[in-house]
Amino acid sequence: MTPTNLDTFDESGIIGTDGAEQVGEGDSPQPLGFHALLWNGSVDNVVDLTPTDLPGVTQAVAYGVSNNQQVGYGSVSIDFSANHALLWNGTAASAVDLSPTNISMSSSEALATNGNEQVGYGRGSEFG
Amino acid sequence: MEGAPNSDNNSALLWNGTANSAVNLGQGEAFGISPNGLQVVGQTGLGNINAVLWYGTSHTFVNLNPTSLAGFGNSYAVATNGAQQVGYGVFGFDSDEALVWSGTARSAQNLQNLLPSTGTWISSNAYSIDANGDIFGTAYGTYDGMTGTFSVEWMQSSTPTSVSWNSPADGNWGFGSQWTQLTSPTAATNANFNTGSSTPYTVALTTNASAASLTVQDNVTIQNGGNALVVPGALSITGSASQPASLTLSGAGITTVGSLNISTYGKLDITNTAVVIQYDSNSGSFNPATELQIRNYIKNGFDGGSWDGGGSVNGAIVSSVAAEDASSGEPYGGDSAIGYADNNDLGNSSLPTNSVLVRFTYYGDADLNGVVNLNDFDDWLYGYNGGLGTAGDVNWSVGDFDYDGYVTLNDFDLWLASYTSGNGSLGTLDHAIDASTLSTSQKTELLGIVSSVPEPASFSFLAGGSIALLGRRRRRVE
Repeated sequence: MTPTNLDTFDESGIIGTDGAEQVGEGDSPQPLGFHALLWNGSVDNVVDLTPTDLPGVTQAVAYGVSNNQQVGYGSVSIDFSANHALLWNGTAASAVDLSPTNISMSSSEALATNGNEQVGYGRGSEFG
Repeated sequence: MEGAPNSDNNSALLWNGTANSAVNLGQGEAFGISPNGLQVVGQTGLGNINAVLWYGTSHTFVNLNPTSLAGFGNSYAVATNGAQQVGYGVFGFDSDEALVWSGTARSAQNLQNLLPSTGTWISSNAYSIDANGDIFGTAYGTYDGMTGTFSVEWMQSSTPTSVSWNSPADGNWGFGSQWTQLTSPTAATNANFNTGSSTPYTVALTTNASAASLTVQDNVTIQNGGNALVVPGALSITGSASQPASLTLSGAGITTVGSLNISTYGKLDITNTAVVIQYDSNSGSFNPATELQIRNYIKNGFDGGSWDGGGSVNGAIVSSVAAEDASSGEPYGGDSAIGYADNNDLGNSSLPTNSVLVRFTYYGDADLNGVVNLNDFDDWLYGYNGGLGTAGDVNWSVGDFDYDGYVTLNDFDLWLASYTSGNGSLGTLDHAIDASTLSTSQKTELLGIVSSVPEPASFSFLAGGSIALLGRRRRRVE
């Protein structure tokens, strides 16, 4: 389902769906990198969820969707070594950085949501 | 901060919409969360990877790596609907096989084995499960002449022939998630309580229930809540020396089974309720074998009046209520017992003809209507005068209230104790004895026993099953 309303993607893939919406990634040559994408059952109205107002986040992938809420991650490094778990509500501007502030993590990704809560994993935790 | 030490550095996380809401679930990765938010699934492990279930914190960790299925080194749980979890295990070196769980490791079921047998299947994965329990995934193999990856839906509607309780924990009979095959038993399904644990647990009935057969190898209580449990096949309580088994039935509902088999290390506790063993259809004929078998089980439980089966499990029908009554005299003055009778003798219109009724009642309640009166004296008198049954093989319904196979004055004593506790009139009894066909010396002996009894001063209502016991019983004609 390569988006037709977004003309910069060479490839794209769906990773998750809740039966109504689909989320995944698109590979863009310019600017280079992966973009989180949201479909609503067709290639004509794909939304690029890659955050526009989170400093340093240039790439993103969406893994899960439920009840109009999407989750995934954004990366501030070209090699995806420092990811930020992200939460969206249908638009790039709605992105919320879920990188834990109450737990020491160097990288995190959100993999699924039920529409209210999100799960995933973090890396580089401290244990007490 | 939650979590456990690890060297992997990956920690499963749960958020509630904000960065500072993160909960560290411990080492691993969380792949899915139920719609109600109560269950989170994923994987954990150093070296071998194990599917895991969390209930919101690291302290509620449940390792789902299959223990009842051999050959799975690694496993992953990727989705949950709040009752069951799905994912896959790595069988052997590199073959994924779809799995479903019901909250415990031993509940794991291999979904690949449920794929069409006309195909050849190499691997499979389960990715999601909906609210109905339908599971979605993929399978790789050859089917209908084509080789490749197939989209698969495992439908919850298929009915297994046998189901087993999934863990030694309290639960509801009617909840499919409580059973390893994800569906509760029906009249066509054999039900098993064989978790392998000696931990007692209670299974509640919130509506009438049935199973084709019922096998108990655990220590389980079925609290029927006034509902009927019908098992057309066998109820088998089959413990072992290392793990005795017991089934306790409680509640006002009636349990009806096709046959009853209690092994040497099995015990049936009827508390204050009733069981019906329908050994043949109503079109069949009377068969004394079941009544004799039941009497032997009850005799083992009676144990001279203690009602505890001699303190050990020995193929017995017991009543914990009667045992407490025998020990303390409360609440039935030590007069409670287990009665039994073939309905060819009882003539109870609410029961199948070819059935044996086993119920909690008073000593002396020959017709099993829960009341001890002169009708029961008449039954005892019939047996005492050499009525139905051969010496050493006489049953409760004609006066053998101590299960020794004979009708004696000891049985009369047991009847008399219950009769007087129930405010039975001694004067009326004297007249009944006088009017009987007993010899003069027998009448004198009985009247002497009665005259030594003080007038009754207490009365207890009997709790018990809700069987309607109608009218006067009939005696079987042989």
